[in-house]
Amino acid sequence: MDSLPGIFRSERNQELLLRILILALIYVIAFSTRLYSVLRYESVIHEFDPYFNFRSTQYLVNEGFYNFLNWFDEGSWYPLGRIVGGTVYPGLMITAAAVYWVLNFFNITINIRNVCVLLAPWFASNTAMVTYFLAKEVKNTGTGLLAAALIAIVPGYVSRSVAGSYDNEGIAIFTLLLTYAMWVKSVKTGSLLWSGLATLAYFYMVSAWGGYIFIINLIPLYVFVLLVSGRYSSRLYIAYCTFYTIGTLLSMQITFVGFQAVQSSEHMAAFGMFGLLQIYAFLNWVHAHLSNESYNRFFNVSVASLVGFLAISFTAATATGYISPWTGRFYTLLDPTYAKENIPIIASVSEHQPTTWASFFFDLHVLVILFPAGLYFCFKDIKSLGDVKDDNRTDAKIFIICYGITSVYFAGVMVRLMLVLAPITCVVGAIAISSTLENYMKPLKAKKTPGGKNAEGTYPMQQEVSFAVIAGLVVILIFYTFHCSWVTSEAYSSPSIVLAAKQNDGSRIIFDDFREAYRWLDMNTAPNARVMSWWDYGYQISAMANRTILVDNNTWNNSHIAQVGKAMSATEDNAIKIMRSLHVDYVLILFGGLTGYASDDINKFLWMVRIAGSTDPSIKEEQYFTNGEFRIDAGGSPVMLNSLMYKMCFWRFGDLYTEHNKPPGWDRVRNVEIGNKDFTLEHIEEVYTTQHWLVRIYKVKDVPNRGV
Amino acid sequence: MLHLCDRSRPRVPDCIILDQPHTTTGMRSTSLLLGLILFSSALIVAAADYDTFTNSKIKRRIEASTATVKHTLAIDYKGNGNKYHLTLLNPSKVAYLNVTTNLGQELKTTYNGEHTTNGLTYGSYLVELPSGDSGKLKVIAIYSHVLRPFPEKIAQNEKQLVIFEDNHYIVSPYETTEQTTTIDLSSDRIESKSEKSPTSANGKRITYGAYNNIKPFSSSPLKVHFENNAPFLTVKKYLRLVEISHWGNIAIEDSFDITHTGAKLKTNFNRAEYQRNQNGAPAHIAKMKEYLPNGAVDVYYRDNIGNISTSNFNENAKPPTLEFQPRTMLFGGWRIQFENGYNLPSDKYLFRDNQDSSRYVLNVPFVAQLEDAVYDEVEIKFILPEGVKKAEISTPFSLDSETIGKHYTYLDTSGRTTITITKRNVVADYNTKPFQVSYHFSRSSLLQEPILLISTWFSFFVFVMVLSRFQFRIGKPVVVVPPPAAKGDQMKTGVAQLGELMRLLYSSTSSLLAYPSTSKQL
Repeated sequence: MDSLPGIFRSERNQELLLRILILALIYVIAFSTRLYSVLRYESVIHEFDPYFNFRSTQYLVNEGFYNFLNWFDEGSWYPLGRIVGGTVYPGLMITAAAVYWVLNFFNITINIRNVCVLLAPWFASNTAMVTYFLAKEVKNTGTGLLAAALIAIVPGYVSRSVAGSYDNEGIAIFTLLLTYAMWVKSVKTGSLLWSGLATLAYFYMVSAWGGYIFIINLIPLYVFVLLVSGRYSSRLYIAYCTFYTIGTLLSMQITFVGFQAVQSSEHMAAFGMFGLLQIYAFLNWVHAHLSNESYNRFFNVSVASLVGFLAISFTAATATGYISPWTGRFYTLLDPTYAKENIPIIASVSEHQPTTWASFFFDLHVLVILFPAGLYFCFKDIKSLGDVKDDNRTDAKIFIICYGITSVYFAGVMVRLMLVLAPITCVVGAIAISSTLENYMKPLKAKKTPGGKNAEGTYPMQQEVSFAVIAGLVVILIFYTFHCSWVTSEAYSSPSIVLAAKQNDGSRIIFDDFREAYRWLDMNTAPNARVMSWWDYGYQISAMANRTILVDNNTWNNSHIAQVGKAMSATEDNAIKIMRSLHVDYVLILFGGLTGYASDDINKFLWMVRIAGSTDPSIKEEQYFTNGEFRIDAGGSPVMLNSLMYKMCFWRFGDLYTEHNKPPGWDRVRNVEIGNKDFTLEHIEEVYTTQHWLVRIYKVKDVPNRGV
Repeated sequence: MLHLCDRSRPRVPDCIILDQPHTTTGMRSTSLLLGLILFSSALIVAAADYDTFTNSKIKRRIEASTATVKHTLAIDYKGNGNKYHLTLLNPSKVAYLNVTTNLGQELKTTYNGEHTTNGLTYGSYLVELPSGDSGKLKVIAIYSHVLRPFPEKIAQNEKQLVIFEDNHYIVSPYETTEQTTTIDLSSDRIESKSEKSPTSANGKRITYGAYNNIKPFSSSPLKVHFENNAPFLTVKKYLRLVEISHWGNIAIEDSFDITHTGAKLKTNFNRAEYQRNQNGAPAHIAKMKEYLPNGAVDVYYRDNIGNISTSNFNENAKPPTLEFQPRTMLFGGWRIQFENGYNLPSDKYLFRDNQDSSRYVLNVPFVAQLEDAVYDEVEIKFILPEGVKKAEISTPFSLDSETIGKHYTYLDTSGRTTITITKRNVVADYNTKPFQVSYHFSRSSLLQEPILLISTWFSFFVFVMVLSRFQFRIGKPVVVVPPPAAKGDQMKTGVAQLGELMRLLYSSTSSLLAYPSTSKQL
């Protein structure tokens, strides 16, 4: 110790140095573990929604902020168009553009694509830092470090923040935790500064993701829990009133939210809580001036009438439509079976499916077990208000409990919301680990004290048991690390626009058909050509092929999507009428029958039928079934075998040999020989098919000249 | 190895002196234009009178087996004078012209405008001859876009036929004693050819002549219709970025905008058929090949939607060869855009002047050596290191424009000097000509960026040191006092009130709804 330079000799400085070093390492690891996809593939935007975000960011960077806000994109939802500026959460794009502008101001000429690709990993690093802060506020520095380390690699969060997954969630988890951290701090201190910061963080969250609804409902819930558990304090009053008033005003600045912040049902709980808090504070004040008896009388009369008045006015406002009812997605959250019955378009998205146990373990690993343990420690540490040992951390712990329990429920309803659960499991898991370590390190440390050999032990072999427990924890954490890297590398680092497969000889084969097709469209069709495809590919077509599309992943207009579904599921003669009326020039479909790519349009076809049927009852799902089975072989229903989708997928496929010892026209996804090989296309013609037949593009023929 | 340019030579472009008035005023009125054409033709004739030559023998070889057409003329001339008039048909299509003596000495050639005589429209070039009353010239002229696909649209599996048009006689303002023309085609399938006896066809070769004692500007249209499946690979827009670092690297990035300018695809694409028989589509382009400069490393090949994985780089080949497939194959009329780039070691391409140690000379190829490519518009941007002075370009051929600009990138403060040059109608044969960029650069400028970095970090650390050693808080730290117990009691009464409220609500609702008695057990 004496050999160290002076500044390192003090314990405080050593601790600081160590803490900064650990945090720096976590920062680097959180960033670098998300780069698998860049190293393995390339620096490219992933999947579907990120392509829209990327395209909007490019627009923002090229055209400036105000043009972006006023952007009417006639290239999507033809012929409706889309007011992009008013229908997006612009936080993500503005963040990326700001990073780009700042870097370029300092002549760091990184291009906008790379900024977008690396934004999510960078924000993941920042999230780890915020988690450190949050967990530190809840328990202590050690817990903070542990929570930061856990969240840096937790697969549930990695899944949405790998390099290239340029989506709202990438920065929203950062802003979510930032808001919560600031909120916890502001409840702890009752300081206007921290509540102001929490509000700003909330504003950032509102600008970034629709999931801000979670905050604006969780915080009132938490306030309510504190009230009920008798932990009302002026700190809470200051924090919440500041947060709600300024936060609501700020959130209304986001065009997409606007007056929803005061009119929609999702925001009513926060408003109600605000009112309740005022009443509560008022009653407290009145009570201080009245005798118990008269106060009770006053209380009964005034509160009963107020509650009645509020209930009546809320019902009236909802009935007149002043307060909008809950949206479909919100209903799905409350009732998981709602979407399946009522809104096929929400049900058709795989990430809206309920979560399985396997995916809990897959995404959280040991945290699944540590989570209840951590909750137990949180409960255990709760002190009542005024207790000598109450150090303001109790409020924070109650908050953690609220967050944990609600998010477990949401994650169970929708697989996508695993993302919200992952951070809190890290914090709670870190509390569990650090509490356990604290408990079991004491006996181990006690060994060094001379004389007192296991004197204070309450059970035999205390040191050995402690040692075993700690060793077990270390092993578990090591397994956690391995699991996280494995999941990140295997499951979450595929850009999904480039597919890779292993051949029989072990070499890697790349299917780059999607970009091939988009590039073909971009290069060889008229700049204003209109492309019809199923909505999944809308964003990619508009971003990569730069062509006008009919429907895209922003599924706001169910009936327009149903029109496309109707065209796809109709016969060619009927479909051409729909396509001509929608001015379709090209039709793009995905077909996996040659390569065995299972998520192709034939496998999605039933959703098209279902969605088409939801607006046009004449389209019935049963028509596409044979005895309740969806088949494309000779036993398939005639309606199915003559649908436009079937014909486009299997055009010229019938005499192609795809597999050894199998008849021609063998579909390798469905593993059947296709049922209808002998057909012609009358109104459309093949213009391009990619190398592995994954994407096929058809052109709608012009109306023939009269008399021909 | 250092080719320092001859700086006494006047800078090109120095052509288009004679017909400048007619290009500017000609737009106003056609009659004026005609008058000026006559006037300038008269000037030509006057010039021709001045230096009179006779071509004793011309051998012309036309190679039409690819998308470009290469004319090689061997001219034996007689006569006194130092300005020889070389005339070539279709001057706007001449992508490359090189005039040498038979010993290989390059001769200065000046373009003298387009003229029409006897129904022939030709470009006139003034060649400065070495002294002597007879001599031999070797002319190489490469034409782009002169082969016209006919039929204009073909099916996927059809072969491509093209028409080549020229003059049976070699156009010259001088009398020619003897001349022959041979045309080498890409295939022996000749649909039709014009006859001018003696004409003979033998396999892939057609011979016209010998013709004797041909008057100046004799006209007789030549037309050959034949099969040519060579790739008609036209780079409509080519942009090259050359970024020089004195830390040892030259980064080159080329972006190509390519169109297949052969016969267009008539019916639509049929993948099944294409897959069954790759050779069944003779006129399409599925692969491209580019020869990179020696020492090229870190090759990449991508377009604006990402990396393209179908490429193969053979760095051991001489020269290093990049073979790649574009994202989509190219049928007639189809288009593709992509970029590729690589790094070159600067010790092979960047040299210091022996006389002036602060002057550096860069020798890189003019355009990419993409096989079979014709470049319609070429733009090359040289990004020189920061602090460069007196940057200039020397070429033995003319450029369309040359602009100096600034470029800002990593760690720049004053910006890097750039030179942007443009030229239209280029073929890769320009790479055989010496082409140089030179500039003055002091070696101490090299240290600017490291010093910038070091001083930034240093000042950051100093800042943190200062920050951590001073107390910036006004007054003492505030100690948070736990709330007094009495207040807690008050809160508890608040809670009691809330509980009462709950009870009230519960009793009223339960009496209203008249729950079954079992619920009371809850």
